[in-house]
Amino acid sequence: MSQLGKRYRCQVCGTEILCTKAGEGNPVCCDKEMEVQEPRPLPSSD
Amino acid sequence: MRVMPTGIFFHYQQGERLKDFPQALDQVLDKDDVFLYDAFYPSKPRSCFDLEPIPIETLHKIHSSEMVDRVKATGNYEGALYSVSGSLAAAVKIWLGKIINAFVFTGYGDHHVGSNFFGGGCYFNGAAIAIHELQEKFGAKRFAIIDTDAHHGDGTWELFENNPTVLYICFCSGSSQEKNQNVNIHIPSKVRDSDYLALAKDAFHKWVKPFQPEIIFWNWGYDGTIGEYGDIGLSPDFHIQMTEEIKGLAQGICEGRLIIILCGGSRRDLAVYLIPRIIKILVD
Repeated sequence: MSQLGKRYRCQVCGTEILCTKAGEGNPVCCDKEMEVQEPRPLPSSD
Repeated sequence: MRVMPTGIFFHYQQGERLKDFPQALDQVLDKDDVFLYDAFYPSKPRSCFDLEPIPIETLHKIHSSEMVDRVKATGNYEGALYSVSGSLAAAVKIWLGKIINAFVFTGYGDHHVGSNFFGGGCYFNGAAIAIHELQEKFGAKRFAIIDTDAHHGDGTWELFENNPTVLYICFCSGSSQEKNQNVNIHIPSKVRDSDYLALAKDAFHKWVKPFQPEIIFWNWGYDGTIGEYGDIGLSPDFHIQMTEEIKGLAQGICEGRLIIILCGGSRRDLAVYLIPRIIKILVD
């Protein structure tokens, strides 16, 4: 299932996309599933 | 007619308060007129995404180098830097006409940070830095900062108490006073939504409208909500009403240019209830 707000990257052509509506499937580019880009959370005050 | 977009400035955070984001934005992120500017992806070059950390030289225009060093020593520098970066990026994009208004997710707030001091979970003053940059680089002239966090914004007050180009209106428990364009509006320790809103409307009419700011910054805290650490008796829906009021104010005097900067408040459930609704008001 795709993740809202996450970025995905095609390992073949380098295309990057932002998921703005999550769905059951995973995004595909160049016949391959795109790889989710993992953000690093930063500290906050709470 | 083309609708000007709303910008959401977001960086992933470790704390409890925003754990449900960005997923909780599912009703707004898929709209055509909403842009998400996000960070932080350590595997990517900084230029890949719009929310870049601001250079240290920009911090030094508002805060002393000694203070910046002290912030670095806390271990929270990077989170503070991205909080400020969101405010600055939002301000520039609004000024350039890329977006009309913005909501900035911060990990650390603004208003307890002055030129050489910080505290209360605040490390850099994002609104002050954004205003300085717009004035210096783009020739912008007048700004208003509306502060509805429950506590007094001692840092913002100090930074602008001798600056006639910035109107700072702070709603808090301190006594009512005014100095140049700095105004403190006393809010009782327990207040009804309707009474607070009446005070706000009066202040907007008396101060903000005649001042004619080019952009309104809103330091929005929900710490005054019932059950929060700064509880002054406000209901959650007070913040929705205030958003409608301030959006209307911005539309009336500066073509809708408004930046909401997330400040105080700690409850995760309130964040999930309030933030998507507030952003939706910005978008609609």
